[in-house]
Amino acid sequence: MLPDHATRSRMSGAGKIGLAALTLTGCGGPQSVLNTAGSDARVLLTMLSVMLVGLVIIWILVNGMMLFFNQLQTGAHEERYARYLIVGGGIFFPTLVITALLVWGLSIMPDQRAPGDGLRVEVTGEQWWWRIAYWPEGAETPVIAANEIRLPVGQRVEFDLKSARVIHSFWIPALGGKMDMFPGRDTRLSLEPTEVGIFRGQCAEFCGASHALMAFHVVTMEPADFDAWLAAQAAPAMAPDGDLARRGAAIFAEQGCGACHAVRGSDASGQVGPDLTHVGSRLSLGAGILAPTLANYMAWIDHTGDIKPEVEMPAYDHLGDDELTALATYLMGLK
Amino acid sequence: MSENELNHDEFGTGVGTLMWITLAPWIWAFHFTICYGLTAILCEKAIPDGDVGTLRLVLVAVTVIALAGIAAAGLSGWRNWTEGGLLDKRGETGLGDLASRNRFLGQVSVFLAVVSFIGVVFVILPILMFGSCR
Amino acid sequence: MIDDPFAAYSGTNRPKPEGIYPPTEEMLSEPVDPQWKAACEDRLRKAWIAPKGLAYFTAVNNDKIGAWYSLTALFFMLMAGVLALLMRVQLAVPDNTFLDADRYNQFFTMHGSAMMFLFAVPMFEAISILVLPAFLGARDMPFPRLSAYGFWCFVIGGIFVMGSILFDAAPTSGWFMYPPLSTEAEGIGTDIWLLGLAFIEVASIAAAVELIVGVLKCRPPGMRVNLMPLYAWYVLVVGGMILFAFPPLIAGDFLFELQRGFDWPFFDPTRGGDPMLWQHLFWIFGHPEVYIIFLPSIAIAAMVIPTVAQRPIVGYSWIVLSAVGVGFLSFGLWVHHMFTTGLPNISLGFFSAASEAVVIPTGIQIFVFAATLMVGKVQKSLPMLWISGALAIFVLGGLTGVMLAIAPFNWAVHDTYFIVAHLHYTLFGGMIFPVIAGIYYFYPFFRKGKMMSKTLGRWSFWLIFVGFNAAFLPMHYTGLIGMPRRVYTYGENVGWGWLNMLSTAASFVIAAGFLVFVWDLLRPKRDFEIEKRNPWNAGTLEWSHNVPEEQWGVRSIPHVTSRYPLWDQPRLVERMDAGRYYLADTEFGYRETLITSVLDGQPMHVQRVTGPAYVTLLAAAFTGGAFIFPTFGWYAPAIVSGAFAIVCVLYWLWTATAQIPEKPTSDVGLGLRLPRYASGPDAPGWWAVWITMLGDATAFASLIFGFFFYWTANEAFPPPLAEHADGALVAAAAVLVSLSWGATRGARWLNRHDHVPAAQAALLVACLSSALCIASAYGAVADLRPTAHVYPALICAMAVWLIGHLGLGLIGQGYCLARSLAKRLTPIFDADLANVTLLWHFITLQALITCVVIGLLPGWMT
Repeated sequence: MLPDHATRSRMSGAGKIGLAALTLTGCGGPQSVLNTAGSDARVLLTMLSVMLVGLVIIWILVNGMMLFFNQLQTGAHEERYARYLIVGGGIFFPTLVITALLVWGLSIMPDQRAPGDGLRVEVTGEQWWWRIAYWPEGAETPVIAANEIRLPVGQRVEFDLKSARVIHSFWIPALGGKMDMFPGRDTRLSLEPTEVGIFRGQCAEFCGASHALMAFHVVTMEPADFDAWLAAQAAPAMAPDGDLARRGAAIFAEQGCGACHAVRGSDASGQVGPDLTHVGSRLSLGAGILAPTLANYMAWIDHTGDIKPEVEMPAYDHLGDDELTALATYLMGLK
Repeated sequence: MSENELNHDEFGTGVGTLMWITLAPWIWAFHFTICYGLTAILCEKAIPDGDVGTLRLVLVAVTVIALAGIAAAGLSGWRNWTEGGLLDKRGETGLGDLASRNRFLGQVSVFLAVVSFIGVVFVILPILMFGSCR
Repeated sequence: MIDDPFAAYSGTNRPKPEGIYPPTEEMLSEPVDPQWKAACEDRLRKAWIAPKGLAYFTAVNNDKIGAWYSLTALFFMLMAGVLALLMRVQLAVPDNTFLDADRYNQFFTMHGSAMMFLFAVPMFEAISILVLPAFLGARDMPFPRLSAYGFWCFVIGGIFVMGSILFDAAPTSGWFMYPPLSTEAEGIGTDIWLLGLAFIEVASIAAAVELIVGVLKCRPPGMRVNLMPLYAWYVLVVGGMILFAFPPLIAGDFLFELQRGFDWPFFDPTRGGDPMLWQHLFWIFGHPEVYIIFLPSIAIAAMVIPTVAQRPIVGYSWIVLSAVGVGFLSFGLWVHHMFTTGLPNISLGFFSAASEAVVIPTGIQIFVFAATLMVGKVQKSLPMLWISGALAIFVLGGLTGVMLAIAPFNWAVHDTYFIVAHLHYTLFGGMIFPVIAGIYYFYPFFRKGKMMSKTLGRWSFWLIFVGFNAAFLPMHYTGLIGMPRRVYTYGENVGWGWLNMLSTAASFVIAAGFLVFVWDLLRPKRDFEIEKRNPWNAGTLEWSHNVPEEQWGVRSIPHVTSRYPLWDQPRLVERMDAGRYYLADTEFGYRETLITSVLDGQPMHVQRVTGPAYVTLLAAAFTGGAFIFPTFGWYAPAIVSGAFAIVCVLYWLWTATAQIPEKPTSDVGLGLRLPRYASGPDAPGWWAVWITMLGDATAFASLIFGFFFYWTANEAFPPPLAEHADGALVAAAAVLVSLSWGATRGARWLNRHDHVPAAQAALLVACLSSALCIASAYGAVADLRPTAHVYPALICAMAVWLIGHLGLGLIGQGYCLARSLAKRLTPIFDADLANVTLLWHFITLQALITCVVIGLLPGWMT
C-alpha cells in the first residue's frame, strides 16, 4: 500500500525523484527518530543515547541488588547498612542524577524552539490530510500545496500549525519533535533540516477513523533546488498533454471535482479538499498512503471510503474503467 | 481513663496534628501553583514573546520565602524527632507511647521537608534558565 | 418517663468514656468465663450472619462486598484483555483487515477506559474493603451499606459501559476523550463514556470516603498513627488523592455533557470555548490516577516484604514520607501529558521539574524494600517471586518515565508506541504484578486457610513475565522508529511488521499466563486442606482471623502496642479468641465496631454499623437510571429516577443512621465503658460529610479554574456586549444563602441548648431562605443564552451547580426538621444537625464564591 521510501540519497534536481532509485537505508526506516536528518533530531538522539545507557546501568544495579538480597545473601546484614542504602540510593544518588539530567534537558529547550530563518510553512490538519502553504520570506501570497512538504537544508524553517476540526499532531521524526494542531488555537514549531533525503511524517494525535492513514512525505533539498521547485509549484497547472489526459480533464470538470479541489489555471477552484495543481509531482496519493501509480489513482477515485474509512471524498464508483484511466492519467500529468 | 487521657478534639488536635506533617509539601504545592499560574497569565496576557525579567524576580522571591518556610517546617520536625532524648533515640519511632508517636511525626516532617526542598529547587530551574515565554 | 436512662445528660453534657484505659497486663491475663464466652459467640454470630437465598445479594459485610467487587473488577479486566488480544491480532501484519477502523477504535477506547475505570481503581477499592478492616482489627467498614451502594453502582455502570461494545455503540475517541473529536462524534458512544464513567467515579469517591474514615477512626485501641500497618497509610494517602483527583474529571464530565446534550460551547473554539480546558481537567485527574493505581499496589509489597524478611520493615517513616510525598508531587505532573500542546517553555519546565522530582519519593520505597530484605532472613515464596517481577518491570517503566519527563525528549516520542510500552511497564509492574502477589499472599486469609497452587503460580508468573517483556520491550523500539499509538493499521514499507508480529505472538503468552492464574484462583477448592491460620508467619492483625471462617471479623478487638502485634505481643491471638479484649459481646444483638481517636487510637465510642438491606440495591439502581437515561436523551425519566434515588437514600438514612441508643454507655470489656452515640467531629458520619465535601469543593474549584482559564485563553473574556447575570438577583442569592447558613447554625446551637421549638423555627427559616435562594439564583441567569458563547454557558453551568447544591442543602435542612419533629433528633442526639451544618459551611462558601465570580468579576475584567 505504501510507496517505497527511502532516505538520504543525493538528488540531482527538483521534481525528478525516481522512486525506484531510492533505497531504504539508515536506522529503522523513513519515519524513525533514530535516522536523523535535522539538527533538533540529532540533539534528541544524543540525549536518547545517553539516557539509554544510564537506564541500562541503573536497571541492572537495582535488579542486581534485589536479586542478591533475595536469592544470594547468606545472612542478615547490620541495620546501619540498611540506613545507608536508603539515604544513598533513595535520596543522594537520584537527586544528583536527576538534577544533572533536568538541567541538560531544560538547557536544550530554547534552541528547539528558536525562531526560523525566513521561510514559513503553514500546515493545517484536515480529516485526514494536510493543507500546506509556503510563505517564503517577504511573500505576499503563499504557494499552496498539500500532503507533502519540501524543505531547504541548512536553514531553520518555521511551521505555523492549525487545524480545521479536531486535534492533530504534526511530526517528522527525522527532523525533530512533534507539535499538536488545534482548531482555534495556533501552535508553532521550528525545524532545521541538515541532510538531503526523503522522509515520512505522520499525524501522532488520534483524530478519528482514519488517523492511521494521515501521513506525508518530507523531501529535504539543497536550497537552490528548493527555490526552483517552489517556483514550479507556484506556477499554474500544466495543460493536459495527449487525448487521454484531455478526456480526463473533461471528466474532472463534468463530475464536479472542481467544487472541492483546486487546479490552478483551470476552472477548478474548490477549497474543501487538497489542492491538485501539481498532484502528479507528489510522492504519494491519499496523504502518504498510496504509491502514485495509475492503478492506485484509479482505485482511490473508484472507492475512496474502502481505502480511507469515513473520508469525506465520495467514491466515484459509477465511472467505468476507461473513464477512471483517463481521469488518473490527467491527474498524474499535473506535474 | 488513665494518665494519657487527651482532650478529644478530633478536628483540631487530631487531624490538625496529622496535617501538620504535610506543611512542607503544602508549601511546595502553593509555590508550584503560584509559579504555574503567574507564568500562564503573564505569558498569555502580557508578554507572549517578551522578556521575563520581572516574572523571574517575583518567582525567585516567592521561592526564597517557600524555601524558608520548608526549612522552618523541617526544623520544627527535627525538634519533635529529637525531643526528650539524644540522637540515639531516633530509631525508636515504632513504640506504643506518646513520645514515640511524636518522634515519628517529627521524623516524617523532616523527610518531607527534604523532598519538598528538592522539589521547590527543581521547579525554579526553568525560570532561571529561560529568557522568554516561547 | 420514669427511668429515662438519659435523664442525667443534656445537649451540653453528653455521656463520656469512663473506666480504665489502657488495660494492664494483669487484666489481660485474667481468664474468661467459658459459658459467657459461648453465649457471646452465639450473639455475635447471630448479629453478623449473612443473609440467605435471594436476600444473599443484600449482604453488606465487607468480606462479601470486597469479594464481589474484586471479582467483578477482574471480570472487566479479562474483558478488556480480550479486546487487547483482538487489537494485537489486527496489528500482527501490515494492512490487515481483521478489524475495521471503527471497531478497532472502539476496542482501544474501551480497553483503556475499562482497564483504568473498571479495573485498576475499583480493584484498589475492592481489595481495600476486603482487607482493611482486618488490618485494623475492626469488625467491618464504618459504613457497610455505603460500600454496598458503591459496589452496585459500579456493577450497573460497568455493565452499561462495557456492554456498549456488544451493540457496536462503544465510544471511539480514546480513553482521554479529547474534544472536539469526542464532542463531535456521532452516536451515543461518547455519552455512554461520560455518564457511565461519571457514575462510577461517584462510586469511587464514596469508597474513598469510607476508606479514609476507616483508617482514621476505626483502628484498634492503642494503634497510634506510628503503628498503623503501612497499607493503611497508603489507603489514607490514596483516599486523599482520589478526593482531589476525581472531582476535576467530574467537573469536566459535567461541562462536557452540557455541551453534548445542550450545545453549551465549552470546548467549541468558534464560540469562545477551548478544547485545552478538557485536557487540563482530564490530566489533573489522569496523572494522580496513575499513582492512585500504583501506591496501593506498592502497599501490598510493603505488607509482603516484612513477612518474607521475617522482620519489621526498615524505614517505616521513609515509606510514609514516600507515600505522602508522591501523593503531593503527583498533582504537579499533569502537563507532562501535554508537552506537545505548545504551552510556553517555562510552563513545560515547571512540570518537567516536578515530574523528575517525584522520582525521589517513588524510588525511596524500592530502596526501603531492598534494605528490609538486606537485614532480614529472606524466605523464598511465591508472593515474593511476583514482587521481584513487579520491581524488575516497574523499574524499567520508571526509568523510561524519567526520560519522558524531559520535555524535549518527550516531543520526540510522545503519542508513539514508546509511550504504549512505558505505560504498560509502569502499570504491569506497578499494579498487575503486585496485585497478583497480593492475591497469592492473602489468599489463605480470603479463603480462611486454603492456599493457591505453588506450581500453577510459578507457571503463570513465568508465562506472564516472559510474555510481557517479549510483547512490550520491542514496543519501545517500534515507537522510536515512528509508529504512532492508536493506529488501526500500518503499511508494509515502514518496517514495523516483524516487531508487531513479535508483540502479538507474545501477547498470547501473557493471555495463557492469565488463564492459568484465573483457573487457579477460581477453581473449586472444597476438598483442599485447611492450612495454618497464619501460614506465612506474618506479624499483622489480619492473620488473627478465625479459621474456619466466622462472620464477625475479629472475635474481640485487641489493644495494640506494636506495628507487628502478632510478632511482638505474645498471647495476643489467644486472648482475642477468648474474647478477653474489647467488644467481645454485642449487648443488643446489633452489629457494632469500636471508634477510636485519630492520632492515638484511644477508644471513644461504640458505633452501630448497618446490616443487610434492599434499599441500598434500590438506591444504586435508581442512581444508575439517573445517569444512564440521559445517554439516550430521556431527561424526564432520568429526573424521576434521580428523585427515587434520593427517596431511597433518605429512607436508608432515616431508618439506619444516627439511631437513638437504648442506653448512654456500654461496658466494652477490660473495665471500660463507652458512649453509644456521637455527634460532630467525634462521629464517623461527620467525617464522611467533611471528606465528601472536600472532594465536592475540588470539583467546584475546577469550575472556577475554568473561568480563569477562559479568561487567559480568550482575547476578551467576558466578550464585548456579553449578557451578564442579573446583579440584583445575584446579590439577593448571596444574602439568602448567608441567612440560610446562619439559621442552620443557629438551629444547631439552640437545639443543643435545649431550645427545641426555637431550633425547629430556625430550621424552617433556613428551608425557606434556601428555597428563595434557589429561585433567585435561577432568576439571575434565566435570561442568558448559554449556547451563544462560552461566557454565558459557564455562568449558567455555575448556576446549575449552585442550584443543585442548594437543593441538596435544602433536603438536609428539611430532613433535620422532620427528624426533630419526629423526636429522632434531640438535644443530645443531634448528629444529623451537626452534619447538615457542616454541609452548609461548604455550600455557603461555594455559593458566595459563585456570587462573586458571576456577579462581580466580569465587571472587574472588562
